[in-house]
Amino acid sequence: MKKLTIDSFRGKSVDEIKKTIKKNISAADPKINAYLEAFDIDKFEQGKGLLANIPFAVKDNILIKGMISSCASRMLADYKAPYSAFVIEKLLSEGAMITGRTNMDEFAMGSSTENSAFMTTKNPLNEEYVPGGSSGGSAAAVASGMCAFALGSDTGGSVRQPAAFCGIYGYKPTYGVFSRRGLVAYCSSFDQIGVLANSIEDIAMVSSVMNDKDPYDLTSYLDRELKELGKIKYTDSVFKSGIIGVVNTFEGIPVSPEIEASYKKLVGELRKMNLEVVNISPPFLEYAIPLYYVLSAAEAASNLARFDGVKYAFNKRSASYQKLLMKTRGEGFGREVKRRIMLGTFVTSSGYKDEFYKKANRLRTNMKKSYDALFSNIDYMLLPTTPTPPFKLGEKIDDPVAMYYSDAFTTFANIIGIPALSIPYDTDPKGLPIGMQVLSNVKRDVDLLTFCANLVRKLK
Amino acid sequence: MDIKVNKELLQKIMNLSKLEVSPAECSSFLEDFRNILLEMEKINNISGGMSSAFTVYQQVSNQYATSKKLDYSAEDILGMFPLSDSGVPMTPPILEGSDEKADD
Repeated sequence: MKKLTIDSFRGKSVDEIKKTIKKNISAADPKINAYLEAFDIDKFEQGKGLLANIPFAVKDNILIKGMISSCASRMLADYKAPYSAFVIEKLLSEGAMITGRTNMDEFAMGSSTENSAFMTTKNPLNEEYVPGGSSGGSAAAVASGMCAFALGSDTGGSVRQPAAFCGIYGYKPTYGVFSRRGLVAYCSSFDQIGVLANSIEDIAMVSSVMNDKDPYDLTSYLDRELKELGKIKYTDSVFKSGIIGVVNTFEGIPVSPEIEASYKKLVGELRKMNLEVVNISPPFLEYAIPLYYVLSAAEAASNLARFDGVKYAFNKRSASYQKLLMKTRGEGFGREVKRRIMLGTFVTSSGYKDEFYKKANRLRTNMKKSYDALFSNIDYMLLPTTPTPPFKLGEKIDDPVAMYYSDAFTTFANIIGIPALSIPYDTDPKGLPIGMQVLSNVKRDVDLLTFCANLVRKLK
Repeated sequence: MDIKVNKELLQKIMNLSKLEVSPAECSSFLEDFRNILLEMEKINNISGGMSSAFTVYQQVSNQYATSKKLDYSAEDILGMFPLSDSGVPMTPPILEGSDEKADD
């Protein structure tokens, strides 16, 4: 299976690129189920710009004008987007070619892509295993050569975790680097669009195209350094000036022996590189999962209240408004979405709000302050991306809490809005990929990408 | 916090959430909901002021371990502080205002 990069398409004609993509999709997708819909790319005309004719896939919660955006939900099965997401407009303006919309966990709620209402995506490296989630379709498409890069969304690790499970790179930027206009909202204060690719150089190039201040998303901002990044600079000076924090223990989070051994191996390699490596204890890490699920469920319950069967989307006709509402939502949403709506309703309901929602919000503020203090002394932090290697299809689907803990090391980056990059580092004894995650403080995206690219080159 | 997760509570939440769920689905939701709430309740382990003794430790030890002047690991520093009878690290005096007294 050949992994494609942007550079691998340079100098090729648009027809050659189309031929390669169509061939790869027809060979791999019937087995993998990465695409909910592969587009007819023959309609694409010669592109112009930085990403001319570069094929990319889009997670099905990011709007593409005139195309269905289902969020892998029965609720939006026939919903056609009336406009394109800001990031899609940016990529199209540089000549990139959309290959299709990829499968995901319904409304981005899940860690295995098994929660899709339409099909289950399989890990391209071993079809008995999950590709991770919720951007599992995007990760599988990149890992199996069906596109050069893909867009995903990362609310609690949904770009980084599938990237780690499929052996590719996954980047979650600082909150606000990419506009969220046209991304279907799940948890607005955590949601970020992310990039999955086979190289950090590709992530840097795509990010420089997509970053801009969007007047329709007031949380977005222009990162001038990122905008002008273009090519990564390779220099040893990034190691001389950077301090990286590592952990000796995983703060009570159960980690598989394979992951622990890989992590220690990488820490050992870092120490040999003349990097300043210090031991840290990431504050509140053990509370990140409960905190994340309280806050994200509360926001999800609110964001998904719009699906009432009246305005648009799935509608279950009934005799009264109340019945229409209950039946539409009862039949339109899948199991995990219902769980989270119920949890969100509960933690914000009278009598429990103080114990859960308010407390979680205070904890979030405190967590942010603690990490600001920590990052005043270090530049980067290294953690495993996931506590275990990829797990088997069906293994955790009936145990929501076990599934939630797949994101034990990723959610805190969304809680405090910092950038993070998952790097394919190792494989377990079964040959399944193991990813490691480097994090930095807010608005240090360029430093993070540059550091990681240099690190990866050094590790090779 | 002692929350009784039973069918009544679940039905109330489903009504508030505007979700109609079949009886079969309802019983498995009950089990899931119990397990999830048990996990979510962990945030109540942190005191109202949001600085549990342990997290204060983490912050203090991070500050020391990452200071260029000192060569301590976070774990070394954590090990220097006493634990309470229940195994919870006790708040370092420096954070209770006694550092000023020490200076005197």
